[in-house]
Amino acid sequence: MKELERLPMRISRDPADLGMYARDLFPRHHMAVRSGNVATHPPLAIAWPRSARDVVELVRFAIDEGVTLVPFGAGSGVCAGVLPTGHTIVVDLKRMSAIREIDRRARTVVVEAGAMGVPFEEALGREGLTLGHFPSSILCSTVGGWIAARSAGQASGLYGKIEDMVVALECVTGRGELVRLVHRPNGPSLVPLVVGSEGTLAIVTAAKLRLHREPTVRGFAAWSMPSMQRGWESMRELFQSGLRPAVLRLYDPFDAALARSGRVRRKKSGGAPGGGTAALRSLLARPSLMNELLETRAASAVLGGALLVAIFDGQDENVQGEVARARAIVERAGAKWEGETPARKWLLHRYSVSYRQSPLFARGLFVDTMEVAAPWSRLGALYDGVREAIGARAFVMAHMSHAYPDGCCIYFSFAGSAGPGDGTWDERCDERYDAIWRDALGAAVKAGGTIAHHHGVGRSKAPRLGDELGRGLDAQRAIKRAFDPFGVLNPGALLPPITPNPFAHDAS
Amino acid sequence: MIRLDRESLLVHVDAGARFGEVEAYLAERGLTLDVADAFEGTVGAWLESGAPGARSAWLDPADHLVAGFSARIRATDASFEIRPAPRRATGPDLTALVLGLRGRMLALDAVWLRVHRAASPRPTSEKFTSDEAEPLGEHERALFDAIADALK
Repeated sequence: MKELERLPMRISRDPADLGMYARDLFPRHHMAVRSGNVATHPPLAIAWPRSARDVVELVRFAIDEGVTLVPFGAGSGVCAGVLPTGHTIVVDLKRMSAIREIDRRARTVVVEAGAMGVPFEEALGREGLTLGHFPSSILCSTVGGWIAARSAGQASGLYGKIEDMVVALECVTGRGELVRLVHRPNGPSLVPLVVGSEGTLAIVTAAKLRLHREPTVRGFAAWSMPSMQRGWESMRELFQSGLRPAVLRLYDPFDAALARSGRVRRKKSGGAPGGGTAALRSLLARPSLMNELLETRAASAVLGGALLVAIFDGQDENVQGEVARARAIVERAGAKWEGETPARKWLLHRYSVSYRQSPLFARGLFVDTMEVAAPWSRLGALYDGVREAIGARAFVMAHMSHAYPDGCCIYFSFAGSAGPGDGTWDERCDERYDAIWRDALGAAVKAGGTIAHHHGVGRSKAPRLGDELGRGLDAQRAIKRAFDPFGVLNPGALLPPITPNPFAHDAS
Repeated sequence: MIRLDRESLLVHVDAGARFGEVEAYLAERGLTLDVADAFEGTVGAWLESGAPGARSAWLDPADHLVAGFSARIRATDASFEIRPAPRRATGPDLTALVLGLRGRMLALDAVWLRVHRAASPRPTSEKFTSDEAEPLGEHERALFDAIADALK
C-alpha cells in the first residue's frame, strides 16, 4: 500500500515484523504456532509513532484509507486483544515512553503510554516514589497496556487497580481528535469508559497517574490454612476490618506447593520433550482423578495445606501493628503461623510463575489462566462452579488474589492435554481448550461472577460478554459509536463480533 | 426495597428509596453509607448528582462506591443489569453513565452500594489532590453529547 509512505513515522512491512506483530500471548496462539501456523493473521504494516500528533495522523489516515488500527504495548495480553487482519496497521507505542513530568509535591506523574513497566517503576524509585502497580507481566507490559486492559498489580490491596491510579488521560479517539479526559470518581467522567476499553475507543498516548511514597517499612506474614474457605473468610475479615495489606494471596494446596518452591528450575536439557512427556500427556488426558485426589485431606496434608501470604507496606512502625492485627484475625480462624519466610520467598520470585508455562507447551500440552471475581457471598459458588467446569477436562489449581472489602478475584490455572477423538493431536487440543473455556465462563456467569477481573475480554471472551452484561451491550456499542464512529479502532475486540471469530471459545 | 448482603457489606436498594430511609435501615444493623452530609432525596438522585458528601475515592483505592446496578437506557427503554463485583475488566465501566450525569443517559432502577461498619474506622491513604475539580473540557462535553446521541 503506497499511501503508507506518506505517514511521518517509521513504518515496516518486513515479513519478520509482520510475523512478530500478528499475535499476543493468547495461549491459543501458542498452540497455533506449535501446530505450524506461525503467523496466520499478519497485519498490513507496523507503525511506530513518536508523538500524540503522529497518532492523530495515523487515525486520520485509517479513516481516509479504510484501514483499521490495533494499538500495541508489549504484546503480553492473553485474550487475543491483538489479532490483526491484512487491513490492519499495528500501532506500537513503545517509542512514546517518556516520563514528561514528575510532580513530587502533588505526587503525580505524566508518562507516555509506551513506557515499559520495570524502567518506569525504577525511574519513580529513584525519586523515592512508586506507582504501586506490579502486574505479573511487568517485565513485558506497558503503561498503555495496563490502562487498556484494566490491569491489576500484585499490591492492589493497598494501591488499587490501574483504574484507581489514573488522574487524567491524553488519548486520540477514533474520530482522530486528541483529547484530555479527567478522572472524577463520582462523575461526570469519561475516564472509566476509556480505561479497560482495550483500544476500541481511543489510543491512549499518555496518562497522569497518582503516585505514593515508596514504602520504607515492610511487614511479612504467612499462615497455613485448614481449608480454602477458612482462608478466604480470613481475607474478607482482614479487608472488612479496615486492614489494607498491599499483597494478600491465598493458594490452594497444589498452587501453594509451587509458591513455596518459588523459583523456576532450569533443566540441563533445555526443557525439550523427554521421557516424562508421554506420562504427563496421559495423566492430563484424564484429569478428573488427579483433581479429586488433590482435594482430599491427605493430599492437602502432604502438600502442606493452603497457604495465605500477606505483605504490608508503610512508612513507620504501624506496619508491625498491622501484622499483629492480621495475625489475631487469621489465627482465630484456625490458621497455623508460618512466619515471614513464605511471604519473603513469594516476593523474591513474584514474577517467575509465568515462565513455568513454556515447558508444558513444548510437551504438546496447553496451559492457561482465568481470573474471575465476585462478591464474598458468591465466592464459594464461583470457586466450586468454575473448578468443577475446568476440572472435568484439565488439571486445575487456584489462588485468591486481589481482595477488596466486598469481594475477591479467583485466579485459576489449568493444564490439559488432547481429548479423545479422531482429529490430529493439535486439533483435539484445540477442541478441549475451547470446551474448557466455554464451560468455565458459563460457570462463572451462573455463579454470579464477572468473566474478567484484570485480563480483559479481547476476542476470546467477546462472544460471552453479553452473558454478563445483557442489554448493557447496547450501551457499550453506543459508546463505541460515539468514540469511534468509523470503526477503525481494534474491531472485533471486546464487543461480540458480527462475523464468527475463529479464536472465540464458543466458536462452535 | 432494601436488601442487605452482610457478608459482602453490600446493600441493594431501589433508586427511588429515600437516602435517609436507607441510612436508618443500615444504622439499625450497625452499618452506614458513611456520607458526610445527609442527602435530602432518593438514592438515585444522590448518585446522579455525583454522590455529594461521599468520601473521596482516593483515600482508599481498594474500595469503591457502586458495586453494580440495574438501569434503563433513557432513549430506548432497554433495561440491563450490571451484577455486583468488587472490580471487573469487561470493557467500559458503565457506572460512568450514571454518576454525576443527572439521569441524562440512563434511568437508574436499583443499585448495589458499599456499606461500612459504623464502629470500624475506614482506612486512609496519603492525602491526595486530584484534578477532579477541573470543569468539563470542550472535548469531554462533545463526547458526552455523542454518547447521548448514540444511545438513541
